[in-house]
Amino acid sequence: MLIKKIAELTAVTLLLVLCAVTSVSAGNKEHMTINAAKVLAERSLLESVYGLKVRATESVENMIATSFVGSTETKTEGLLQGVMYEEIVYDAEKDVAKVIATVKLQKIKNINGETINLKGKTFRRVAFATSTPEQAEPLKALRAAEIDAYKQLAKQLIGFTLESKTKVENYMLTSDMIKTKLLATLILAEVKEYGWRSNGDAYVKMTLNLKDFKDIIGQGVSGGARVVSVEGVGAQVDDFSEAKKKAAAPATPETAKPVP
Amino acid sequence: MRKSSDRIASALLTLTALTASPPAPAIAANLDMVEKNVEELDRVNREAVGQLPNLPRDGTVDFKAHVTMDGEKPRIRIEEKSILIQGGVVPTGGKDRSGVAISSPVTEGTLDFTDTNSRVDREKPGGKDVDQKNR
Repeated sequence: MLIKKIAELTAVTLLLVLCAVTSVSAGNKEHMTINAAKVLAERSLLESVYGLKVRATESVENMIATSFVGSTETKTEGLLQGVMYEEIVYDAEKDVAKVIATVKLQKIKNINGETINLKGKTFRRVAFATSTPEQAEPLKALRAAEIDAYKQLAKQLIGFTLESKTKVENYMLTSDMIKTKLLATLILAEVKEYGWRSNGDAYVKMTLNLKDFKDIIGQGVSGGARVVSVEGVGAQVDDFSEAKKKAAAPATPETAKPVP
Repeated sequence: MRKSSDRIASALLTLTALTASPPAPAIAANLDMVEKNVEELDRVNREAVGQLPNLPRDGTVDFKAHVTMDGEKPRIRIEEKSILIQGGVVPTGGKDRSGVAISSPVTEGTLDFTDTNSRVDREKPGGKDVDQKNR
């Protein structure tokens, strides 16, 4: 009788231990994903409040899209205190976490080293993360859309340099080469809307309130608009590289004309 | 409380939509985006070229401009430009200076193709100068 009871107890204990081990293993992945989303949300907040540097170059030759080369880099590094996580959601089945982080600050030393009075304004940014590479594409597209929105905002507010070598023949323009360069520091950019279109493309609607900007920075921005709004886009699939490869590849024997 | 539950529900909905809908590789891709960007660059470039005076019929136009986008409309400030006419060089312009000196303005008049009016005649030793004849 006693042996039977001990056996039952051992079985129950083993089952409990097994359950605990399983939940610990699942919890680790969940924690890692949520933590990643938290870090990404903090980075986005830092970009909004502290600011970020945007560097972008584009070039295109003979107006052929496959000759296009474009890159945008962003950089930020700063200290942000008092970050709160307003919303944390984890989808266990898909292993995707969403975090909304907020910060309310009176003052901050921004990316340019200037101390700015934020007047207790609350900044809010969202980020998604996953530990599963198969789920990463929509999230990467969203970040690409965010970066594109920063670039668009910089193009509106600061502008860019356009270098062009244009050939004119019989009064007709034939552009040979166009290059653009952009280097800007952005602060106080806010994400107003984001999402994915039915075709999978991500979009981010970003704004910069020029009135708030003037109040906080004490410096106006040229132009009559009160709010500058832009929309950045990001794709999940790279068919451009495929088209580029196709354009660069020499004609195959099947497609090449036979030599008479 | 209700607000927070609504928020969580909407977040879950977003996550579900995000993860449940698989990407459609045939449509959702970056080539369209690049093509739109190239069209935009072409449009800005054409507007900038259009601001340059006295474009040559044949030649190359090189310039550097600062562009600020005002919504869809570019605001262009030409900073440097150099115009090369096929078969000859036009003096280059520096910063914010026009280097174009292609021709004088066209005036309407009657041209009389006689010996005395021809430039060749004028240059011939002993030839009659048009100006002298007209005096």
